[in-house]
Amino acid sequence: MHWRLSLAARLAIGFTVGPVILALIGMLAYANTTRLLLTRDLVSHTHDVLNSTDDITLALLQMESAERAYLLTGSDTFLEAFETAYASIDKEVQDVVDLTRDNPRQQARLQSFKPLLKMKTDELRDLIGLRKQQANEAAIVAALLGRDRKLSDDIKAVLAAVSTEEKGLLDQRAVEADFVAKVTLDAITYGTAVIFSVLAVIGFWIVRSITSPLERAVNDLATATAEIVAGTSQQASSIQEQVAAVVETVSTVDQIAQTSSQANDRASAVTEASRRAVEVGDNGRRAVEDATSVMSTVEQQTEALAQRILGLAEQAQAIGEIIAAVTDVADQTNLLSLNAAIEASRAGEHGRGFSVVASEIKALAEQSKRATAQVRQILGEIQKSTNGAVLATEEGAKSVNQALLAVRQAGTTIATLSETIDDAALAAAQITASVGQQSAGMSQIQQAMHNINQGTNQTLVATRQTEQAARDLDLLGGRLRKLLAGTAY
Amino acid sequence: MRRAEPIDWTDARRSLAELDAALQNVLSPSTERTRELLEERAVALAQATPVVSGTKSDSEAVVFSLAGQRLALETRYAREVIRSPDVTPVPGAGRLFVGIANLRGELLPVFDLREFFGIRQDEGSALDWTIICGEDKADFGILVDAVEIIPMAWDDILDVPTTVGGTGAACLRGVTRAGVTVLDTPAFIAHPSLFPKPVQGQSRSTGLEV
Repeated sequence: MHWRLSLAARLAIGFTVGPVILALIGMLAYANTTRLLLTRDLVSHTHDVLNSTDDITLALLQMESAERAYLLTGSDTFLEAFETAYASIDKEVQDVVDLTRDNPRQQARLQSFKPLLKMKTDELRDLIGLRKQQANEAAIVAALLGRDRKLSDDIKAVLAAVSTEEKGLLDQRAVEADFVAKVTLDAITYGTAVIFSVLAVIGFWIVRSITSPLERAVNDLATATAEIVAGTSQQASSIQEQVAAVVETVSTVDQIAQTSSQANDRASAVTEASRRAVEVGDNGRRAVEDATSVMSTVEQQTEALAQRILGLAEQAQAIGEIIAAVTDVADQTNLLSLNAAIEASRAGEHGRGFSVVASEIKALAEQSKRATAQVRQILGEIQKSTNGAVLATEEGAKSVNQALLAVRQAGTTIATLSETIDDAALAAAQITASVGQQSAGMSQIQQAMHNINQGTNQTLVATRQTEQAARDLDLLGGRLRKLLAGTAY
Repeated sequence: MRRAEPIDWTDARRSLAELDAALQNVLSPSTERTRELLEERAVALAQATPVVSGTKSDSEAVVFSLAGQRLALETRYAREVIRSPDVTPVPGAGRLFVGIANLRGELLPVFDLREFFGIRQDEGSALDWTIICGEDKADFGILVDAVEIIPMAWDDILDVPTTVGGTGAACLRGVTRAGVTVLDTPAFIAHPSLFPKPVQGQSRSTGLEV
């Protein structure tokens, strides 16, 4: 419970207990002083009552004196004094009645006093009346001697009783006043001591509750400050590294920006080149179309050539048939000449001339056969050439077809290439745009890196300030520790 | 594709025109050219009339080729040379007797003499020609590769061994200086092998009239 109250609560308690006790003492002192004032008033009142009683006694004496004087002198002056005393007595009695209205015993006494006074006054007035009636002295003396002493004694007794009563009250009130004053003095004395002791205890408690956490706080502060110093030193070194890295990054970013700019130029060049490539591709496509049309013409002409050559081969075939027929005729002729020669030989001498004719026919037949053989040979060569020409034409047609295919493939390739080049051009344009954006981004990065560099430098400065502040804090903690060491005991 | 010299089409057209003109000149010769040709032929004919000596032994001979071998036959026994006719094979006949041929309505036996003379048959031999043999009438035909009529000095025949032999060795007379084997034609004609066994007792000399 000792440590659960907050410092404010403790301070509040410390600053509350003293005033509370002071207030209690003050209230007590106030009440007692009030009582003392009241007692003083009552004492004064009692003194008034006593004075009034004394005045009554005195006035009675004056009345008796004035009566006696009148009796002796008969001067009206004393009569007036008598009347004055009487009036004052009456007034004083009334005052006493008023003053002792809270005391029934005194009231009762006063009520019994009033007839006695009346009787006394009447007695006195009787003598005064006698004097006025010019009575002789003897009567007056007789009357004077005949007076009852008891009446005066009763009056005196009543007045003494009243006085005694008031005096008793006075003593009682003096005792009360003494008691009250003593209580007040005691209260002030012991209350002050209590206040001092309580305030000392509370002050010690508060001081202890302030200094002991403060010592711990100072220790903690020292530790934390050391950690902060270490941390800020580390932070400062890392920020320096960061600065170095940022500087490096800035230079790298500058290089990248430069490279990006070059890439931008190159991308523009690529775009231009791809545009030219697109034109070249279009030219290539047109060239392929022309080549295709020319190739088609060549194909048709080759087919016509093949037809012609085939016709030539057919004609050569016809010639061959004719030659076969001629050869056959020559063979027949040869055979005829042979048989004619045989016949001529069998005819002996008679057939000799016929034999000559037969040998001539045979010679002609052989000549014819040789000629036809030559023609056949030539025809064979012609046929070979024709076959070769047909084969060559066929090969040519095939080659033309292949060339056509190749050209069409080239056309397809060029078309594909053209599409690819279009795509490449588009890509190059996109690359150019991207590179432009990249360049802009690089500029932003550059700016950002410069800002970071600036910020890092500022951070470094701030960190150094923090470090300095932490060191100041450490010094402050040391001073506070010294202060605490000086004030704790 | 064969790389060739580029064709000079003008030159080609000119060559074609020249060839056409030459062909026309050959096919339709001019009058002078025709007369020249006729004169050449007349001269040739005038020179080609040799006067053959009239000795009997210097008569001509029919020389035929048979699988590379040349054999000579007296003209007297050769009647005719024809292209080899369609031969109908005869069952049971040997290699010599090829079959029966129809010569203008007359049935003739046809022989392949290669085995008869011991000539190898696997040598290239078309046997395109047939010599009809017989003195007075056609007796039989022999299949030969080629036939020619050449003068023959019958006295100048060397009796030397020849590559030709076989069954027909007895029918040979000798070899000429030109290397032609000369047949003893009468013996050849009468050689029993060339007379197939008579069918149903009929003589082979009896031609079967169709």
